[in-house]
Amino acid sequence: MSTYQTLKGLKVKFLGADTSGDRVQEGELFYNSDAYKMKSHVAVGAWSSGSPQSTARAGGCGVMGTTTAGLIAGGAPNIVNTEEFDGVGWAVGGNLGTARNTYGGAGTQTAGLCAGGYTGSNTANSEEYNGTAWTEGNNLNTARRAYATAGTQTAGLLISGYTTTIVTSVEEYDGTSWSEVTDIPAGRTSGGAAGIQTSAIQILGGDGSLVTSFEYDGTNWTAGGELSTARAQGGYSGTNQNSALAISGETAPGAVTVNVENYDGTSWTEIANVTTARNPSGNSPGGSASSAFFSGGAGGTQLTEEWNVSTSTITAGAWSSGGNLTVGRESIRGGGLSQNASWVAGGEAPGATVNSSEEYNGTAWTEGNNLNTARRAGGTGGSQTAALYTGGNTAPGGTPVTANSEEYNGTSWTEGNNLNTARGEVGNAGVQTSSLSVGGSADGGGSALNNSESYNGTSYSNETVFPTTGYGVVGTGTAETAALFAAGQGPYPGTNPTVRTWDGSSWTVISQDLSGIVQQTTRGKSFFNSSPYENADIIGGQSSSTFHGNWNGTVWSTRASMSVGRQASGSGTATSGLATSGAKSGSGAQATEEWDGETVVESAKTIDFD
Amino acid sequence: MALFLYGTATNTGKGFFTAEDRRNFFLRGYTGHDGSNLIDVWVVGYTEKGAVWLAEASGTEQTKAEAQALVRAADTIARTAWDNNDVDGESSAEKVTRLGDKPGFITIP
Repeated sequence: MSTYQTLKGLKVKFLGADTSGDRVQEGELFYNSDAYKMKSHVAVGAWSSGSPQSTARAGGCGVMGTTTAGLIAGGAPNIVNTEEFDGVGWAVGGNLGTARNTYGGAGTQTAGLCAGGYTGSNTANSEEYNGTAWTEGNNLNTARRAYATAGTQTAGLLISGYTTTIVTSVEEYDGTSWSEVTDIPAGRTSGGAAGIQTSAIQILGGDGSLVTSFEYDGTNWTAGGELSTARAQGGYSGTNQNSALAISGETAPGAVTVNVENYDGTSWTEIANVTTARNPSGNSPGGSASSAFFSGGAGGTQLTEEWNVSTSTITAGAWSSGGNLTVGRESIRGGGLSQNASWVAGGEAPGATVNSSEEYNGTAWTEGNNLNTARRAGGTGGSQTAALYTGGNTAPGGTPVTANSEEYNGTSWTEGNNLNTARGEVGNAGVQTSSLSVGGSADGGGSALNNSESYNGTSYSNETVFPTTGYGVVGTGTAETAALFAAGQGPYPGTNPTVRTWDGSSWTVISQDLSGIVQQTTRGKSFFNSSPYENADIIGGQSSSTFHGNWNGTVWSTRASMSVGRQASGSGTATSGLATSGAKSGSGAQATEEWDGETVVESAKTIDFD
Repeated sequence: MALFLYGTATNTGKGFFTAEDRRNFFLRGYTGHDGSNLIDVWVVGYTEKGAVWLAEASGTEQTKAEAQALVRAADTIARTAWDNNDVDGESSAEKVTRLGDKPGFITIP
């Protein structure tokens, strides 16, 4: 019998465990002496669910970049805004100069290109993106929409499309101007393309009946392979004419497919399907056949799916239903340093504030002893065995407010010293023995406060006032040195407070608010626990918001949405969080959801020689 | 082909939907009202796994129009409650601060 060394001239590594981290080499064979198995890391392709775009946009929007630095711009209805993708979530990008839809993009997140499209009529307008802002470039020779694009900002390619009829003309961009080049053999609309200016592939389009792709070498077009499933308005990704993906799309008017096909330069092969079929949708022309994102689509879907060919098993972050609360309520507050050791107290059931408190063990809620003062919308923090509840409203709505503060020791609530300023909808950061209470409303009316008070476990002290007034502001982090406050609402008719950080003695205002990634009021939100605060997840909000976002210390970006909209109490962490209750009535008042963040695990495959 | 299924099913808590369910199909819950009681309305991705989930949740499939009507009924109740929740001498600004914005009508996808 031949040995592996005889066949390959190599010895097989004899290891006590699977290779991991930097030692992983795709395809390398090794022996795991602990498992008594020959093993190897094998790259496998799989789709995983990603974070939603913040703006619903039907396709025809310009999409460019890669799975870790993507950009999506415009779309239908005539949208001007753009969003940037970092591989996890979507953040705000610079607005287009001209809102448009039914067009394609090219280039990267920091060197993007968009041209043409539909603004009410076809446009020849062209714009370039530098990672921050769009500037006007020279116009296309032929105004058009529903074309295919590929290439870069300095070597772009725009193929076919629709004027008042389907056209076969093709234009190249050199970073300055557009010029006509060789026509594609067959005109088509709403198709896609991938690759670069000198090695591109145009993929389908029309009414979904076309199956032929065309390859472009920078000069001439030749027929490429035929797809198994004809489609238009799908997603497309690839690096050159020999490596591309065709993703989902419309197979006939009103019919969409989950089918995905991979091109190797000769033939198209079916690979794993996307979870949600959709059209029209944008995709990543700058991505590759082994790494792509597929986002947005008709019907208002903001879904993102990611394709990765990897030796790792990527499990996307997702929400699942948790145990139902015993007492349903809204304006609930609570805390807990982990998902499986969370607590809530107070809140508002129809017609009354409640004093009930409950503890969660990861499966079920059990009643604890009650707050001494029934209330809603106070400031809270701390763990299941050392919690703090401060201020709040003692009747439904905004009045009256209380300065009362209580501490929980895991068994019962005891009165502590009061806040200096009574208030409801106060924001808190920190723990029982070191907390910071910020803003709020003192009279339930149109006024908002900027008071800031620290608590040392015994008494409250006034601190440097919050930079602006606001109620419903929420906080996270450590009160002594590094707290983060955001969201909430300023005085009526309402502003959207920017991020403020606290270093223990002073405030820093960061000119970033949530308005770019969430379209509702930012009142009624809640943070998970985040210390340090450079990975802070924020959830929910008024108007039945399913919102879930993340602050990374610099920008806000989206995360996978909750299933049910709510003004939840957040607890746990960005990798293992809990959203509790938040509706006034119905089962939503008792429902909770658990968040488990994305995991990436190296998993070597066993090689079976039988 | 439709993108979504619509149905009603009571959220029974832990295990009602799993993280794997959320990865496998679109799922969004809304509060509805059937004329007597509040009811959970679900919009589910139109996939085999989504359909199986709705069936295993003992759900009752609805048309989109029926599901939207249930949600609108709950919205109407919430909006009426907001309209009727007044305090003497309170300005509209104070009311918004006290109660939050008046609930809107939700359009399901």
